[in-house]
Amino acid sequence: MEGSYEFLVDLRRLTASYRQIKMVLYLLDAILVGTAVYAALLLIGIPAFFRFYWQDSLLLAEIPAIISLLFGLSLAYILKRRSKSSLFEHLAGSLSAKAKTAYDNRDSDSVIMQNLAENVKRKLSRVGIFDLINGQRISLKDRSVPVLYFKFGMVVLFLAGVAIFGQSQAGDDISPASFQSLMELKDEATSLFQEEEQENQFSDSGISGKIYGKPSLAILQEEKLEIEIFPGSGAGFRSEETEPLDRLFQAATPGEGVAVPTELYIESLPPQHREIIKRYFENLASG
Amino acid sequence: MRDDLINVYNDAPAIFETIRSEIDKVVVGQKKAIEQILVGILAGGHILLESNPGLGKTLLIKTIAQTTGLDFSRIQCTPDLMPADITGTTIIEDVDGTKEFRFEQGPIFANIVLADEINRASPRTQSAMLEAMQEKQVTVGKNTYKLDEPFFVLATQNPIEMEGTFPLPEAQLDRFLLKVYIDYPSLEEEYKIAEMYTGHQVPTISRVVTKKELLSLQQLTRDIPISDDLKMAAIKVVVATRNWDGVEYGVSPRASIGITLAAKARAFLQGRDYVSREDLDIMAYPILRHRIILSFESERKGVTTDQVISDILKGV
Repeated sequence: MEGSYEFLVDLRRLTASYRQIKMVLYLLDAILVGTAVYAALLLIGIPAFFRFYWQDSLLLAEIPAIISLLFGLSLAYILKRRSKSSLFEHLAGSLSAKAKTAYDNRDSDSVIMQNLAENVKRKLSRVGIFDLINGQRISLKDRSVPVLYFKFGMVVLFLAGVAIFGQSQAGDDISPASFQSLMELKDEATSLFQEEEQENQFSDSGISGKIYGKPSLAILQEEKLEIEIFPGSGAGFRSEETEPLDRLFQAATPGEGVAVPTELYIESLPPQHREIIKRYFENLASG
Repeated sequence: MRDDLINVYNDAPAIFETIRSEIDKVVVGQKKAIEQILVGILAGGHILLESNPGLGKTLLIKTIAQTTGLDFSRIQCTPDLMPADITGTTIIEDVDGTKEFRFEQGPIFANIVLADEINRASPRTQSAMLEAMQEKQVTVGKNTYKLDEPFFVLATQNPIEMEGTFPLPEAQLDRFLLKVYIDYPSLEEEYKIAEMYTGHQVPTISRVVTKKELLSLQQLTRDIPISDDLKMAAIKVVVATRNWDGVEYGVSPRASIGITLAAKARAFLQGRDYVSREDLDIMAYPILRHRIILSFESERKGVTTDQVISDILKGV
C-alpha cells in the first residue's frame, strides 16, 4: 500500500481492522464447526467412553475434543481461503467504489485524483472498526453482516447445548452401564474372536466343536447311524501331567544280584484263610 | 497550465449545467441523446445520430455547436457530393499579376462538422472523411494539412429512406465513437415543441464554453480515475461480443478504449470524480451497437444489437 496520498494511512488502519474481523470470523467458523462436531460425538457417547477408559491420560481422554477442534480449524481455514471479499466491499455506499478507485490510481497525481483522494480521506477518517460490521453503515447487499450475526448466534447456541448436555452427563456416576451399547459391541466382537479360536482348536483334532446336542451322522463299519451326542455323554477326562513320585529302589552291586522278596506270599493272605490255603497247596504237592 | 486545469475542474459542474440549460431552450426532451452527445464531445469522439426524419438531429447538433465557441460547418450529403467538396481543393489565384496555386479549405476544416444524412454521400466521398476522422488531418495532392483541435464529426442518418443511399462501411462505422438514437418525443414534450415553434420568439443560444475550456475539459475527462475492476469489466464486455451466440463479428479493441473513455466522460458529466459500474453499463450501448454485426439467423429472428448488448452485460 505505497503512495503519497493521506487516505492510504486510513486505508492501512482499516485494513488492519478488517484483518482482525476476518480473524474473528475465522475463529467463529472454527468454533461453530468444532462445537457441532463435538456435539455430534457427545450424542453418540464417544467423549464419555474415552474419559472412562483413558482417565489416566488427559491427552487420550480429550481426543474427541481435540479432533473436533482440529476439524473446525481446518474447515474454517478452507472457508477463509475461498472467501474473496475485500475491505472495499465492506465500506458503505459510494465510498466503496471511491476508495477502490482511489487505491487503484494512487500513483496518479492528476487534479481529479487529488480531489478524489481528499474526499476519500475525509470519509475514511470517520470509519472505524465497528462501522465495518455495523449493518446500518454497510450496504444491504453485503451478506457478511447477517452471516456474522448468524454465526454468533449458532456458536452461543451450540456452546450452551454442549455445556448443558455435558453437565447432565457429569452429574451421573459414570459406569460401564453408561455406555452399554458400546460394551455390548465390544463383547460381541470379543466373543466372535473367541469362537473363531475354539473352532481352530477343534479343527486341529479333526472334530468340530459344534457336534454336541445336534443330530449327527456317524459311520461305523460302513453303516450309517443317526446319533445325537449330549454334552455329558462323551464327558471323560484328559491325562494331566503331575509332579514325578519318589520311588524306593535297593541298590545292588553288579554280579551279586539276589532277588529278595519283599514279603512272603502267605503274609499277603487274609489270616483267617491262611491255614486252608496252606493245606490246599500241601495236598496239591503230595497229590 | 495546472492552475488553468484546476479552475476549469472547479467550474466544470457549472459549465455542464449551463450547456444543458442552453440546449433546453431549443431542444425539448432528448435528455439521453444530449448526454450522449456531450459524452462524445468530452471524449473527443465522432458521433453518428440516427433517427426518423423531423426529430431534431440537425437542430440538436447545431445548438450544441452554438453553445461552444467552436468553428462549425455543415455538409449536406448528396450522391453527387465529391471528396474535394469536403476536404477542399487547390485553386489558381492571381496574385500581383502572377498565377499561384492556393489550397482552399473545405468544410472539414472546422471544429464541429455536421455531416447531414451521411449515408446519402457516395462511398468515395464517405471515405474522404476517413483520414480526417481518424488521423485528424487531410491530405490533398502532396500536402497534408492538420485539422484544428478539437475536431468532431457529428453525422446523421435516416434509417427509413434507404433508396439512393450508401450504407456506411464497417470500417467507417468503427470510427464513430458513439451511435446515438433519437426517439420520438412524449406527448408533453411534443406539446411543448409545438408551442415553442409556433410563436414569434425565436430562442437564442449563448456561447457558454470557450475552445480552451473545452480542451481542458477533454483533458480532465481522460484524468477521471477508473478502478482496475471496471477496466477489466469493460474489456470483458468487448471480448464477449466476439464469441457471443448470434453475433457474426464482434467489436474491435477501439471499443474497449471507447467504453472506458465514454464511461469517464459520463462520470465527469454526472459530477463524479470516479467511474462507476453504471457509467460502464449505460455507455456500452452507444459504443457497441454500431460495431456488432449480427448473424443472419439473429437478423431473421428480429434480434437487435441492443438486446445482444443487454445479454452480454448481464452475462459479464
